[in-house]
Amino acid sequence: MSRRTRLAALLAVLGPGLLAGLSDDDPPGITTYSILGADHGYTLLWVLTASTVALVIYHELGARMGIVTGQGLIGLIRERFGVRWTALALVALFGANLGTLCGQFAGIAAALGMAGVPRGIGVPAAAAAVSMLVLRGSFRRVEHVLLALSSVFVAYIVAAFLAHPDWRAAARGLVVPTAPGTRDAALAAVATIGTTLAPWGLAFIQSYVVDKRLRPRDLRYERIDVLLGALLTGVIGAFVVIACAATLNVSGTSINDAQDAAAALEPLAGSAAAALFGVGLLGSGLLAASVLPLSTAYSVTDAAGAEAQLDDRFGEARLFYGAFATIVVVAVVVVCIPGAPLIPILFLSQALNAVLLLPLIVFMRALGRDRRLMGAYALGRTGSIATAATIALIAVSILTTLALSLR
Amino acid sequence: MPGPPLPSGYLRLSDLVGAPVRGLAGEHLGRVTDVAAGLGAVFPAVELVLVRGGRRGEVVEVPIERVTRFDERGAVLDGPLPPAGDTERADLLFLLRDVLDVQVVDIAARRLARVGEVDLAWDRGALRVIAIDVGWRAILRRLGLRRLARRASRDGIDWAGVHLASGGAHELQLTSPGAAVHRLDPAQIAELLARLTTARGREVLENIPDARAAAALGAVHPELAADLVEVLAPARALTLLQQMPDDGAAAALRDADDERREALLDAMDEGRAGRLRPLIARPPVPAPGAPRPPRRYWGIARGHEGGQR
Repeated sequence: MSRRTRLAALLAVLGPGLLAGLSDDDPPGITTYSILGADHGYTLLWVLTASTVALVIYHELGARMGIVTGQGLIGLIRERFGVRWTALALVALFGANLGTLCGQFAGIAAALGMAGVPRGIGVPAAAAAVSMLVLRGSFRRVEHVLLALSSVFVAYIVAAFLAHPDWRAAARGLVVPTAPGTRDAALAAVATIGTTLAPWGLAFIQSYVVDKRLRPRDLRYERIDVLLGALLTGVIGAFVVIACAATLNVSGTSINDAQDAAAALEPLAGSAAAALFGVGLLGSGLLAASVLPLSTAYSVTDAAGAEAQLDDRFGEARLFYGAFATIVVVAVVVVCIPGAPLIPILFLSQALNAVLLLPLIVFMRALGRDRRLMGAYALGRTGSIATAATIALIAVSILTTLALSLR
Repeated sequence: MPGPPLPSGYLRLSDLVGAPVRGLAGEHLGRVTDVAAGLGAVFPAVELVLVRGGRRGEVVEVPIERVTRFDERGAVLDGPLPPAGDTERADLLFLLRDVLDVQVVDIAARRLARVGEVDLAWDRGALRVIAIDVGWRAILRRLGLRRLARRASRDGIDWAGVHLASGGAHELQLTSPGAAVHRLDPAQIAELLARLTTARGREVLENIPDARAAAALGAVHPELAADLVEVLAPARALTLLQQMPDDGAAAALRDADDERREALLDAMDEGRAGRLRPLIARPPVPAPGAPRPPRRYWGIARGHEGGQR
């Protein structure tokens, strides 16, 4: 195969890994990384390194399972484990997605709040707008605008350099694990895992490769796609932590609202930092708030075994539209509760993600190891060890947080 | 969709699996773990009952002839459990493993669904698979929510109109003359191909007669046809393309990768390849009102990409 043909093949495959990976740089993700840097400096950067490695491992597995079986994650769980285990997996996924969608709307509320728009008006309007765009099939028209708005978070890379961080401490923090000794540090580590390896991303990447009809021969390119998406999200996340460590942590500022988080961009943007941060929050929040309910609705219909498409009428796909509407309405109501704290919603929803992630990756590992299902593409010894180590790391992190909370 | 009417006294697989197995004197022998049926007839007949029992709790295969009674209360055998065998019959459909909860294509309703229940009935001494239920009633019932299940409607599909789209049963059906896939016309096969993965679609095209396979390949969406042309063995792809009209063959080759397309054109006689090349280069404009080819199965990517690829 010529180099040109290989490049064309790679470009045709690119998408699922990039989108599923980059979607982690959403309002809950940026907020969690900001808190990690602001409160704990460079010391917990290694959690982000480990989470990025876990992201590569599980996104590659999700993509591989989609390519080999032609089925989504929840459908596969039902096929191999039956309806009761599927109900458990679906409750975990729906709960995690609901928490994350609350986080997206909290990010949108924070961004609009910086512009003086009350959340009681801004959040329902944003939810109605993205729902209409997605359900009417017009999402593609605005997708690139939202992606461009989200990309302002790349500014953290420049901001980090301009803030003159302690690079030696940052490098050490990235690779040398230090145990989080306090409840807050352990919670920040758990939230970092939950936002980087988000449950909805696992279901999304698998469904996406199925729908792109990727074939086993595409797997080598899909692996590049996954690696690129994970590296980009890991690199941006690391620079958010470094920028916040070099500014907020040094000045002893904790993040209590969006203005506090935006201060990390001041070395780059000066007085425009808040506006820049707000634009990023709004764009990435709207982007994720568009894809997340759709992914959830497909998972719910997948569990029931129904075939749903966006051009189905309501009467033909009640479950699909019902799931879509339920998750959006509940998330909007939660965020619009007067006085509901936006930063804790953004942060704690990600810690909840990590807890609900556990059963899902246990299922994924079991499916990935199943030779009857995966044939020659089943997880081998190395893959089995890597996936088990990830599960153990997450379980230990959660148990540590619980133990420190109860002390 | 209520589906076909069920005979009185029909049995549900989920009631049979886990049911106790006893001897004629009422002694406990084990529990049913699965039921295996042969695919020789339109409605498969159960041939084996798998029972976990014995002193070591191993799974043994009990021929159905040895079962004197079999219903939701359990099975009664005419004697002790046979010794455990070494091999698993590859020609049988294991209903729990291969059918329950797997994806199926409902050929008549042109939809992809998932099996929530397998319905069986005794018919002249044979226990046969007669239908599946793909609706909420079956799911709720298996979740233990029986009161809710009674209020939900059944969504049944006659077994004769089902193609198992996932798991090992797909290949088994392709090699079984009694399976639904062998009674489909080309348009129905095209609908089936649109809902299967490309690899399974290839297996379908490799296991049905040339003329029907070629007509089905010509009836699917051109992008899917190109995918299938790419994954078929070159000799099989060439055979099917030779039997397709020029415009259909050109459509199937247009989106195929360059190397495969050129290899196939080079393998054709010069006259045919010469006619196809300009057609491949210039796609025809469809006539107004012309029927659209079957659409591919769109899911999350369609939602994300707004239906365009």
